Amino acid sequence: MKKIFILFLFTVSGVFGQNRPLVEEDFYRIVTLPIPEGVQLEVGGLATLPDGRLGVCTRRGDVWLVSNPYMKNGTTPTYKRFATGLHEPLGLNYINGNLWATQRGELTILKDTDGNGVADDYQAFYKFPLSGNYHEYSYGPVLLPNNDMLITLNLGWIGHGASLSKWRGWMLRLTPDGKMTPWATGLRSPAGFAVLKNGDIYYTENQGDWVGSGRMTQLEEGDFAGNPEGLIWTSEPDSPLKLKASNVLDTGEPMYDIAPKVPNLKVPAIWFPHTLMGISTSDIAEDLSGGKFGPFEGQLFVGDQGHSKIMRVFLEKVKGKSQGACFPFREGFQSGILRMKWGLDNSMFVGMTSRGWSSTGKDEFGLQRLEWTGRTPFEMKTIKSMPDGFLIEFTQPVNKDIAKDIESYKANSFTYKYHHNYGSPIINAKALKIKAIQVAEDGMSVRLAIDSLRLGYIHELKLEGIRSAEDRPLLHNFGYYTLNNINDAAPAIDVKKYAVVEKKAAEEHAGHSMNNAPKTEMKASAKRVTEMPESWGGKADQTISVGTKPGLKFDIANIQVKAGAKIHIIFNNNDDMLHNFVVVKPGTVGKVGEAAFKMGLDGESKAYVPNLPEVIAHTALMQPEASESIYFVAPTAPGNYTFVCTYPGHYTVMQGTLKVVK
Amino acid sequence: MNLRLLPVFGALFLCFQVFAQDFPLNQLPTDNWDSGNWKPAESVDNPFGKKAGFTAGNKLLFSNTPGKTTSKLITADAKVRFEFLLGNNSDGVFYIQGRHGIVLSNTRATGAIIRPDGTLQLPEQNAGKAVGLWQSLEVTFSDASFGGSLIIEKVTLNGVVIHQGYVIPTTGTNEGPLAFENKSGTVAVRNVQYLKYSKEKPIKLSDLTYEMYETWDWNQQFAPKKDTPNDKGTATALTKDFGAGFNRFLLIFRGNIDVEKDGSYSLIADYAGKGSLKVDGKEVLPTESGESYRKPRAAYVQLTKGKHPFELRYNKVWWKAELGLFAAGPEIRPYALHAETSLPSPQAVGEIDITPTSQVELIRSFVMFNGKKRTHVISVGTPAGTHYTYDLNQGTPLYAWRGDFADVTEMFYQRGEPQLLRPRGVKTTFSGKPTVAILADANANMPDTLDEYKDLVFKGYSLDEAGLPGFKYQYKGAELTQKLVPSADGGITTTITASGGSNLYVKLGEAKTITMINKGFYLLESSDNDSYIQLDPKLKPVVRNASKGGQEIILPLGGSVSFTTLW
Repeated sequence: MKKIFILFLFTVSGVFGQNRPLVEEDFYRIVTLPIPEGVQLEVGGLATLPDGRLGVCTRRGDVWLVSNPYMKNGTTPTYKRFATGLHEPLGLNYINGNLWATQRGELTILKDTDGNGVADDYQAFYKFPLSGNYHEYSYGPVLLPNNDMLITLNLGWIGHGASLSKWRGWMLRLTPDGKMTPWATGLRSPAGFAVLKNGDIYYTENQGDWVGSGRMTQLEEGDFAGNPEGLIWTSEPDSPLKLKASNVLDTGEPMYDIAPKVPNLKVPAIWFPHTLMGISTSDIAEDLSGGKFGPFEGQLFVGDQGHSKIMRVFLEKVKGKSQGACFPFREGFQSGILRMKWGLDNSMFVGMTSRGWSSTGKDEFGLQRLEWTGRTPFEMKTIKSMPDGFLIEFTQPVNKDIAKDIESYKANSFTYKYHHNYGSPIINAKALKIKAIQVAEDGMSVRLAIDSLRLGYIHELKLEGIRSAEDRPLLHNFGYYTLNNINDAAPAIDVKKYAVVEKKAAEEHAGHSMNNAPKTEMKASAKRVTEMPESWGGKADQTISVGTKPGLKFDIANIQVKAGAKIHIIFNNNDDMLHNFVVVKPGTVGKVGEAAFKMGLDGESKAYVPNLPEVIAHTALMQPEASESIYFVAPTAPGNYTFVCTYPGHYTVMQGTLKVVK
Repeated sequence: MNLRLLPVFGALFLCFQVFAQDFPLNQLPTDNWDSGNWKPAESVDNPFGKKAGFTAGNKLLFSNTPGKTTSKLITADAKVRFEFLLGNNSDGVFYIQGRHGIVLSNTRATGAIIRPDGTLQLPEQNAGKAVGLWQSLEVTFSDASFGGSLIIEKVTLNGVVIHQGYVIPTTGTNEGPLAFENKSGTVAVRNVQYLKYSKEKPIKLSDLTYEMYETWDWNQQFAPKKDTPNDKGTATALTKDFGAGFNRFLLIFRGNIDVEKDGSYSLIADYAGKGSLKVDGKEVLPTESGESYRKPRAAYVQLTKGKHPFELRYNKVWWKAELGLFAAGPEIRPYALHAETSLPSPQAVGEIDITPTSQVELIRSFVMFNGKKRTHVISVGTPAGTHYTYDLNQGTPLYAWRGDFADVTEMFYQRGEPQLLRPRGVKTTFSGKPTVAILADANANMPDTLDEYKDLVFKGYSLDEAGLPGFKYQYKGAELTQKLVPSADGGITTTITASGGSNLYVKLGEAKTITMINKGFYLLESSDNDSYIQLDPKLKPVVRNASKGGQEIILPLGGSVSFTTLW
């Protein structure tokens, strides 16, 4: 605690001491709650109690009550085990004076009837079947305004998602007296869901089979959100939809284009482009703080497990349907974020676990709190659809001259395939032409008129050049708008008046041709030789098989090769995520990894291998259960080289040593 | 396609298991023993009965006076398994090679190894059963390769591993008879079985050739890309390395198995991927429908002296290539027929346990029962050292055990894929069928299952001051509560209370045979699972044949019924 306090003082003095670039922690501060030794706090659910305590349920089946989690004025929290023995509870809520936990196979009310601070009555409120598959996770309950509750049921995993017992892949609605109505299906891994103030229900989905990238979808009764496995139960009499898996088209066309042909299929309101935003979306928290958590009142925060970060979402309704933009918000949390809950003081509790999946935050688990420092970051506050493009609103006035300059902006659009495969490459990417720019009088917003808006596409807006009136850059200079409908109710921009000066054709192409080839068809190159060179005479000096293991690991930690030897590597991705295999020069793994991380939209088509001399050889980006052979000549200089997966978020842990010896 | 990875999923359960070897053991008849004052008998009376004696015959050895019995069988390197029964205040010793003792006792720790200086190496936990119940002990021992020592490789008492790799320094030859000694009380022994291991390697491979085909991926069933092999030739050893350079390949080895002498053998293929084995043109290990993580598969074959043609096929799929073939015999430990580098040692996993120290520990999980996963199960561990697992769906206990509580490695190691809890101590296995049922009349069968959503509705549980749960159900108009509490004598007492409802019956237990020993005291006998049931002598339960063989003991339920299971 003392340490945190001292750090804080240091940070504050630092801010005022020099005019350095501002970073996330100048605006949002992460406070780490200490966890008693021996407590395996792999957070599954969080609930804030009105008396200031915080309920935390864990993978090991315990519910802890944390007193004084706000740690004001140098005080410390204390932990008391309130309940125990639950089967991997992944949701906790405080409803009508009681804690409710969703276990794998049951929604349970935990009561302390004798008032000794420990639950002694475990009421089975609603029980549901399980097949016994480890991937049958259950989440909730989320309370609706009329006191009904929602729970969601994860699909099992048998090499692909599967609904092995009733209502797996569904969201269920429960009345206070325990009557269940199936609400919506098409869910794959619905760990995060919320009811907004206006009563709308949203859930987030992880990239996977039938899910090209992370996304957030509004669920209304009878909706089908995209993964067909749950449709196996639609012949049940209480199913709100009759759609069958055989009616779902598996063509690889964009989901938006398939939706009119598949009844009930609901397109997401928000896509979170994979690795450009996060890699595994989790909880949703709506900012109802009335400005006490900063300038994003009414917006949503969405956690990401793999990247240990929180994203921000602005939603709007256009033609009655939800859509909007997502932005980076805050990264640097200690473990994989699963839960976010508002504290009484309008700070945000963040509950984490990485377990067998690994995350950018290195701790196995953790509990932190995110506070607004009171300073307003210079950010894009919103992106809104306009008949001819977008309106971008800022949190602070922009430098108007710079904002009028087309060089301050870049715009692209792209989408994903809708198919049974795990994930999707970016497809149909296109650089967009900005026709006109209108900067508001007060400098608080900008209108961009853009050529060829495409419905169902993700529109990337990059504002790298924009500066505030105080000459600061944006804290985060990009956002992704999912365009399902065009708001043609708003007035159009006067294109003639605000037209931008045409650039020469040559400049326009620069850096914007995107390779849409699927990962597996990436072209071979000098550093990725996939056929044995003729000159080797049909024989490699050494052939080495490298596989992957769950938890971001290669299955071997060390490879020894002879300097100058002809090396054949067979890289086998037997994990359930995307990986590559990259050999880099000694001591350069950090540089290469970071460069891969920064490749952004271009990254996937280039297998996340940056064009750097430090890279010696690499494979393509491999789908789960795919493999590739590469051939290269080992370096002549002996030393400890590194082999690494440079897929964003992986490189710091997924490494091994390639020892080159004489 | 949807089913293609199911076998993989199944294989996950196996990956923590030990290399299996299942040869029947040789029976050591009672006339192999120089009996001294031990007597051959047909049966022995339960020591709680009125009559304390035995019936003459030759099924077991029995002693109620101090003295030793020694086998004519001499062993050096062997596995020995037997069952034993102890009377009240009885103390015996089982000797390996005539001199290294293992305690069989209800006055000392059963399973303790007696060191050469007479002190005891205590078992990892106390896994002995109650007086008068048949128990089992299995010991594997061998000569240390480093000399001058006997290694007690493994001792398993009543299914609980209590010693592994214990080394006893010795002088001279490690060889001798088996022996039992009665030091006091009553000791009986039956079903003494053994395997003597030799260092012979009577099976070799010869005339080896190989063919290697590059194959398509799973979506084309790993079929070869071409009809002609990419590579072929003669081989000096069986090794995965012939496939090096290919992501997916099929490797076919052909040759002869050279057998030195007639006998029954096992051929154990251990690989990751797909495989099959033919001997004499017969598929002894057929191709599996799917692929699997590495796990051993054993074929048991009778082979005569001479050459037997074989064909081993191995498909490398998405896992690293790993290929091994072992030979074993009833009295030959498995040895490799493959090249050393073809099969790396698997990495063992450190155990995650739950240990109740000062308070009751509860944990819900999946649990295997009779080869199936039960999904809504709670396990209760007590500081008293008696624990149980209870199926909340069917309202019935599955196991109760003493000693260490629970191994939850498979729940919490990495992603916890099998999600299974395993009991660690000496356990009794219950029927797993509903404890309470409504019967049309006293002659109707107790059901094997109840509809756990429509009929038997689980309402939750309350914890008492000690933290022990009482399970609550609604069952067709009846409110039921079931509570299991450790009894003072190491058993478990079940109390069932009903309000409302009619024609309710309680199943106290199920076994192959159920015998009343005294009023209110019953002996339940099943293979490796003997137990007692004790209840108020005034109650008159009915023992009758169960619906699917065996017997069950039932009692009408009016108000409350309480009974204790002992093992």
